[in-house]
Amino acid sequence: MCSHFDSDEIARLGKRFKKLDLDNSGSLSVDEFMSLPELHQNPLVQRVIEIFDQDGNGEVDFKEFIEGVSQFSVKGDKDSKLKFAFQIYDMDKDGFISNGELFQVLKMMVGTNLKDTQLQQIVDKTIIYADQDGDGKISYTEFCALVDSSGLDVHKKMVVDV
Amino acid sequence: MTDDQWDTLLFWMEIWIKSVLWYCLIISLLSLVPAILGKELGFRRKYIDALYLIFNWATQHMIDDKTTKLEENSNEAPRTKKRLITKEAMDELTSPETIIDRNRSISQLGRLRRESVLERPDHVQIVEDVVFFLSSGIEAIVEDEVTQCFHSQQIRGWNLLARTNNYSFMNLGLRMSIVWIGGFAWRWMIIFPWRLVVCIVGCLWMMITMSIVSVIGHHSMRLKAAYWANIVTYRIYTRALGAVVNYHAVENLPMNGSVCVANHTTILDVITLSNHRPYALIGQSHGGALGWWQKRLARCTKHIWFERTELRDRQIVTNKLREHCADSDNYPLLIFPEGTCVNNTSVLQFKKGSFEACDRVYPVAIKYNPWFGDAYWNSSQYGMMHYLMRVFTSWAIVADVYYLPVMHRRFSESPINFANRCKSEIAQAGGLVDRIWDGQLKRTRVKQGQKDEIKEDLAKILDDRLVYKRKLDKKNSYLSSEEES
Repeated sequence: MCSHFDSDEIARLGKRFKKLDLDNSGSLSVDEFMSLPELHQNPLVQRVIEIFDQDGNGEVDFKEFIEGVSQFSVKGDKDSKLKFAFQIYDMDKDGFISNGELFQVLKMMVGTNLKDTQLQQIVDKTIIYADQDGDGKISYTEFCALVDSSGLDVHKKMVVDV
Repeated sequence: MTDDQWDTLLFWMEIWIKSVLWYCLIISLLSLVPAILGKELGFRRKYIDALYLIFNWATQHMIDDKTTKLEENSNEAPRTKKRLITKEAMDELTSPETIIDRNRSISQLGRLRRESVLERPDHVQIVEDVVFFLSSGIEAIVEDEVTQCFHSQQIRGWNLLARTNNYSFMNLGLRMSIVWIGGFAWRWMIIFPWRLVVCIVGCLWMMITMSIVSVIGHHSMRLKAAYWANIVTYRIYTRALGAVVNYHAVENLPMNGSVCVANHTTILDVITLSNHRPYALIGQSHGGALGWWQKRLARCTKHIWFERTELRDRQIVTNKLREHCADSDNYPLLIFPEGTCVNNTSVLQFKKGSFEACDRVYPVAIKYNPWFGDAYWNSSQYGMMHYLMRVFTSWAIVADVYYLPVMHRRFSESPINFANRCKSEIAQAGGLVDRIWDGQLKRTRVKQGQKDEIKEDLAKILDDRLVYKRKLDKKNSYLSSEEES
């Protein structure tokens, strides 16, 4: 298992995993994640679980759990963190964020509370800004450039203590 | 059996019964007399001081053990320096292990975003929003703040109670095991029967005095007698729990005909507070042992017990509350607006009901010391009897009670805002984390409505930004058109 955690941290995460695994199946279902009120309210949790779930069987096993959380370790590098953030948008995993995908992610976050035209406006602006080669979608390199130009230090925000 | 054998048997039986009776008598006198007089002999406080030393030693022992192991294993420098056995060092240890107040928690979204800058370009903001939800999601996966409030808090050290408090403390040395067994024997064979006797004495006292009080005809005399019967009852119960309570800012003690709101950790909160002055209680009528107790209590103090069906009717509840506060003969009504027991690390959302009915409340913060025993009643895990057994066999219950100055509802302040204001005052006084989560989450899942709130919140923020940008654009185009002309 490749992760940035030491044995203490793995043990702690193991305890946490067992606590989350309500039916003791050895893997976490979407429903089990949703049993945490905070996650239940988090509009992106579905996407996070999909990224955690590397083999696509709909559940997150312990290996996937550790490897997923590991991306957010202090010791994780900038590239893997940005890759994770990129994957949130890249829903079909083709390596590009399309106009439609960006729209869907926004829609996930605000629900029906904002007009589609308003959302589309934000999406179009973003794509125009970030798209350097003019193919109408954002590649990973373009995403990184966007993040760098924003001056947000996104990778520093994507750090979670275990 | 021969007659001789019978005689010896009877002889020993008699001695046994006599000693048990003497034991009970001495115990009841030791707790009854000081309780009636309202005096403390100071044994419990001495006992607590002694326990401080023992825990400190035990924890020190554990840390030493751990560091030597670490050194053997990896030649790593010991992380923890030797502690001096002082009260300060102990207080440092007393601070509970993890009370995270994360400003990235999803519950902070509204506040966090309102502070966010409107000028930021859309593409930057989109990334920032996603990263916010992403990180707060991962944080919640690793450790969420809601379920955390409903589990007993962990302590940074060892109080010789549970052996599994911390997995690294599992392997005890011989010396440590002996101390632990000694403590176990002390708690189960000496303290426990002692407390049980005192508790029974308390129940008897309550039944007898309250029955007498309820037939006293003279009004003001009955009030005085009821006060006395009440407070002595709770003083005895306090002794049964081995509780040591420190009251702070006594000048803010709630007065008759008012409402007192406090954070809720256990049903014993009532005893912790009533040890100082009697309160009227409000709650649901129960069956079983608790119901029996409720009926006894209601005989001489005006408590408000609701039937389950009545509780749903907000109007009835409000009226009864108002009625209660209007009479200055009534004890202050003790309300726990969280509606559920929380593990004493945080204060959860206050139900607005009681703040609708009253414009004037006395907030009280209760903070238990987790070292001497776990006061938190996890009612979804233990029944009441099981919980009481745990309390009776723990070292002691040590609590600090902070009385806060009376708070008034401001003109045009909504009951919800008033409730939140009281909550944050209590949280601050008790050193607790102020949280917005609904205590009902202990048993139920998040309702769909609450989920949509976050989305609405974010939509509002995005909308604000759009509006702001449009204004900015207009301003710019106006400026540029002016330049042209």
